[in-house]
Amino acid sequence: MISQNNRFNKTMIVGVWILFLASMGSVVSAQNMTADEIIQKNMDACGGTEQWANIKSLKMTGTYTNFSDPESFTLIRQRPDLYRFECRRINMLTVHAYDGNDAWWVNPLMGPDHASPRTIPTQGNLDKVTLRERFFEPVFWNYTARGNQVELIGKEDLDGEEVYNLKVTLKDKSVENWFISIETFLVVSMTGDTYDFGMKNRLETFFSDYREVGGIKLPYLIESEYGIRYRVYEVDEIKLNPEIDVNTFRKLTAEAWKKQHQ
Amino acid sequence: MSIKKNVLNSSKLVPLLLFLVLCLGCGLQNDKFTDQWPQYRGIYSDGISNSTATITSWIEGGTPHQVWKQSIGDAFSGLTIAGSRLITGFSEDSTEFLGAFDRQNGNEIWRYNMNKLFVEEFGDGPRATPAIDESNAYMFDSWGVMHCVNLQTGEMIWKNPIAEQFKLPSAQNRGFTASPVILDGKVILFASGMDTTAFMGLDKITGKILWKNSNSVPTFSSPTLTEIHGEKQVIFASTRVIQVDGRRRGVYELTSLNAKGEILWTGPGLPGVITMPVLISPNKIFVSSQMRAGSKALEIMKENGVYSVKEAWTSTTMKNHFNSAVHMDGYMYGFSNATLECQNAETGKRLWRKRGLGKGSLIVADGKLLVLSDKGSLHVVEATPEKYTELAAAQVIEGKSWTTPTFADGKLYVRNLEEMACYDLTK
Repeated sequence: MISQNNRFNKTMIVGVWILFLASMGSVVSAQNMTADEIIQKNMDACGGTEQWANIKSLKMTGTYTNFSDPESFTLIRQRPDLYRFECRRINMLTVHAYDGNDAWWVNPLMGPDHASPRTIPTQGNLDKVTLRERFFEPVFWNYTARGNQVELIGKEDLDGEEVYNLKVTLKDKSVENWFISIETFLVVSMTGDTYDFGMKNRLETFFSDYREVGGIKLPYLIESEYGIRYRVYEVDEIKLNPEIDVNTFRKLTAEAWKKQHQ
Repeated sequence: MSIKKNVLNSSKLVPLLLFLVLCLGCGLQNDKFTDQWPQYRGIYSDGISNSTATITSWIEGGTPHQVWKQSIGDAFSGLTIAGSRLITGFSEDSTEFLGAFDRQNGNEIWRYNMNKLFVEEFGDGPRATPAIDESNAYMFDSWGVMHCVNLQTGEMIWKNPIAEQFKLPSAQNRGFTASPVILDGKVILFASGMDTTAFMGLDKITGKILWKNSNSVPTFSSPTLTEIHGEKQVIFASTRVIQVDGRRRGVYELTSLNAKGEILWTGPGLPGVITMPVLISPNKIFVSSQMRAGSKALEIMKENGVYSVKEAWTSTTMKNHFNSAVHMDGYMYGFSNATLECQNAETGKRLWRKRGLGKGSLIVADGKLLVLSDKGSLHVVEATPEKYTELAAAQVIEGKSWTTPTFADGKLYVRNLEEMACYDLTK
């Protein structure tokens, strides 16, 4: 029927970016705008570049649905690039994390039931996904300094909504397309490549239900599809700049992990 | 509706009437229950109900009228209609059962012990849907045993351990999922396997294998029973394995067989097909894959008694995962992974899509799409290529709902891994 995948794609990350990008409050003339003007509107719509710069950490909780089974999730991020995503799948704790040096995971469905390096010998390109997931900032935030290039492809219809299509070439040369509403300047969708069991897949992610939190606007509903994967993140709460124990991101030894989670 | 024009001909009405008469004889039929849904995805394997009931009254306001709701043990098995009874697979404790339930209240009438419980991470229990004829139910259990059970009493007529006999593994070891069909006295099955065991015809009286044909890697896909060029046929979406320069290579095919097990035609299929082929015009067959290939249509021609096949179109849209699409008036409607899509059946072009329904399923009744989301919400949707137009929506069942609904006599029957329910959509 279906095969199980336990690896997370960049959706969540992307989601979090988006969250921080976009929004502009007022509807502005959409005629003949440049990519930079659209990005500025997007940043303003999200609450502004300065607001984003003030965010040092973030904690997001909600419901994560995978293969039609809803489970709770927690995402914790801290500058510069630490993250930890935790949820339960089929009643088993699953963690994906980056401690500043290495990506690690606990993924009983794929094998390790304790903190282990996030590598699977038979799966190429996993590092690429990991590298994308760890970014703290939105893709458009200070994008030139970060080595990203943006090109305005044009306006188009996305399922009945008029959007700007911005092609983003990341520093590592991977390409993503970001779709920004011409009315709200909030990000509506993104497409890019991701990898599933080592195979390249087209990823399509949608962002909606934007709400204001701490002066910025973030999407509270993120839906992602690639291949046969369908993942939905329904956010209940977002805390900005919470105090976070740095050990949150640290990979425990197998013994320590088992002791802590027995 | 072109498909009904195609299928509701006299050659099919005769066995239908005969079936009704026989059901009356069995005491399973009465005035309340005249519509049929005798196998997976309905009378013609196409997800389209032959009911003449109208569901307008519910759309005009209010909520659908729940007739009953009952707990039922784990299974993905669909709900087959046998006159006044529902026939489906379910599980309890460590056992898989085939059961009969009263359509009026959902009460259990009998249960037949099929096998030990099949356990799987996405859901336990039987995966296939039983097929019925005038007196028996035919069910392929999760372990690959074919059962024939008396509809009236629930007593076993015969069983045949197909998988054990030919040492057949199920696809990805997720249990046997392909639902059987019945044609001209045979129970026809997609068993798969490498030793000329892919397609099988069993004597429905004795369970004896009358013929077997071709090979295929293990499959989730059920065969489609339909009629093309006036000939009844069963169409399989398979991956045949051949040797090329000493290496195994998969050939993706659609293969059509008659009730004698003779191959009528073979055409190019798609990799990774889980769903069923769908008849989209008198001589065109649609097939869809969960994989990047998407979907395609084949045109089936017949001249001087000889079939030939050509590809009508291919499309990277409409990638059905595990629930099949339906065809209405020249358009396909179905779930491309977790997005409901409308696709032009003549060109393959996507016309609209709707997110938010998850990995749902859909059927057609009263000319409308009855869409069940993977979380158990029912959406009545206009079957139009213009845009997604929702006429009504309501939560009809809770929890993960992957089983395709059933519709007969104005009643919608839904189930998931925990419960089943009946709604009267005419009230």
